[in-house]
Amino acid sequence: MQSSLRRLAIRCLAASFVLAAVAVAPALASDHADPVMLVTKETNLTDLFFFPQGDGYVLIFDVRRALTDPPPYNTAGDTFHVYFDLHSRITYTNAADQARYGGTIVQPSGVSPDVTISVQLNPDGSLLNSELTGLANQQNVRVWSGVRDDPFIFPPFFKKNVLATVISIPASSCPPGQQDFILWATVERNGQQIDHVGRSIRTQLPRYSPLPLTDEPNVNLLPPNQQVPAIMELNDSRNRITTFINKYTQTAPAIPVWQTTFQIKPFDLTIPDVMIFTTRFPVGYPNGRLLTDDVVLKTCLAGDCLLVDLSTMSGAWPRATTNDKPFLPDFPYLADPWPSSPEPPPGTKSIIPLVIGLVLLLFLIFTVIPFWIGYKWGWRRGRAATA
Amino acid sequence: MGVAARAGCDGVSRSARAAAVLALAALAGIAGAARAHDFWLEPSTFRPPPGSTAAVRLRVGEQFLGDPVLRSDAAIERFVVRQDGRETKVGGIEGGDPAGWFIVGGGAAVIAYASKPTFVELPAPRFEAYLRRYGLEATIAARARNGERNEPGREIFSRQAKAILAGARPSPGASRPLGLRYEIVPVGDPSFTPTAFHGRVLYEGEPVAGALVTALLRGDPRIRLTTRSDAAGAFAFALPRTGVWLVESVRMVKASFFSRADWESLWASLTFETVAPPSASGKHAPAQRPPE
Repeated sequence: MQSSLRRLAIRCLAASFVLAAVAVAPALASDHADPVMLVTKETNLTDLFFFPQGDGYVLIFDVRRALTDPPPYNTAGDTFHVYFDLHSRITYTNAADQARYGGTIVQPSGVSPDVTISVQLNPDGSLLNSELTGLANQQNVRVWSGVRDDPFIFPPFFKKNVLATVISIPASSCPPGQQDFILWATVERNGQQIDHVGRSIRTQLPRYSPLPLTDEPNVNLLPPNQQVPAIMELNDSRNRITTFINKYTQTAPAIPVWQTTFQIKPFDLTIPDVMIFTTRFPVGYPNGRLLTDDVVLKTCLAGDCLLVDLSTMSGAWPRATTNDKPFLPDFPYLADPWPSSPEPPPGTKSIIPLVIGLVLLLFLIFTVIPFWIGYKWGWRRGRAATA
Repeated sequence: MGVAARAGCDGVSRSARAAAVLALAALAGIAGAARAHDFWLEPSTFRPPPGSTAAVRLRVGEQFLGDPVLRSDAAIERFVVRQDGRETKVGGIEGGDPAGWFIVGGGAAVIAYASKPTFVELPAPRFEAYLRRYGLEATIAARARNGERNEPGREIFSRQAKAILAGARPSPGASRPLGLRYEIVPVGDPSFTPTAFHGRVLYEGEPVAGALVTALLRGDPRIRLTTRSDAAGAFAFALPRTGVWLVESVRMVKASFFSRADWESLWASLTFETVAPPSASGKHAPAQRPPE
């Protein structure tokens, strides 16, 4: 009896975890995508790359994961921003920070943009408009947008495209002697921020998403200078749940799942979700990001293995460590797109009808049916008394 | 204050007995480490820039050489930082080292950690030796008066640790009590007085006379300064070197009537860093650190 009760408790707990996971599903549903409320697929920032090339730098960002549909795309009202902080002090003495983030930002609350690149796209994915502030020699900055092969090295996104923007920035556009860069990108729809990307595979991790029915902050919607306090707040909230789970025998079996999925890790608490690049060390994730970087493996080595797990779900061996199409040696560097084909309808459907059905069923069981039984019983007694 | 582990192993196979002894020894080691030694706070830096994230480690050990103590919310009575006139909780991750994190404000930050009491029982000779070591002769005398000298020492103990992180300039906040039950309170901001440390010991807000206070310098076990507080609870050390200092004192009081222990000890500590005064260029010279 006790063991069946225990099994029931564990199942209930597992069910609550599944519900929590469902609630943050948009964060999990894609690998390199993390808006909690995905307004449209086009507002979904997927990748951010930054690396030196020749006498300058290349910046690439992608949106619209798993694209196979032909145009038009729903890009109206969307503005993509890439920000550079060129003033914040970064140190390179903390080996753990350097392995995970590329360095240590001494004062996260002081991170703010010195350079802003804003981009809008046409419905076919090509460049509609770009605006640069804070860069010198802007006439030499090259901006290109269009449909390209998804460069993310992750099998579920092989043979898929993205809407890519590639920007070539001459070194002369940056302040003379600039060695350290902090970068991040956001997307706004009609002026409201919807997504944020910085270090690869960071805020998309489930632990950064606010849990349902809590007032946890959404790190993904905050500027970097507000993210560390928000992550600390998130941590306080998660700690309360950890304490609860740790307290009871029946909840304790959930600890490993909780810890690996939702508990904040110590290294989350110090640095906002940004990309660090410095010319002091060789380029390659987490020092900037090259197109060829296997970030799935590299982030795993630094403590986050969710995408390694997901990439092995198909059972394929060995795990892919290179892109499914070779990159180009020259601008725009990303491989040509795959041929368009209509995207299959989503394999999932809304749970809301099921929930409504269950609520109605419970309503029937606990109100209408007892009322009807009572009514019938009273009616029969009344008839018997009359007879 | 370590606890001797004894195990009755009759009827147990040799290997099982060996495993049990090993496990108990390990447990005793862990428990001993948690109980036996000094306890202090080690921030990631004693001079953090404003707006940075500071980590706080809990350390237990001897001679200012410590092992990590992982954060356990169940063991924490209070873990706060006071800066810019405001007190906030120091958050952290259960089971984590560092045990806490906070965002540094504009001036000096004083971190305070108080643990919940833990029970320990020690054989009489070891209990008395530890009382003697920490200058608690009054407790030895009280036990003798009550005919308890040969009785095991049953006590509950708690940690009352503080650390001061320097701001850009001396702060009056550094010398303000935080209300720990037993507390070492500096007079002035010790981060800016490299040659001397003046302080007071307070028990429940009142000065304690005759308390043994010890000062240790990180990285140099030869330096161990001791003194006793005066009637006003005041004491002072002439600091021979700059560096990271640990000042500590233990207070022993009778346990409450309802406690299963006879005694209650409160382990106060304060860590801070002194640096050489500014040179003509206006920059502070780095602390003198012995080679590690």
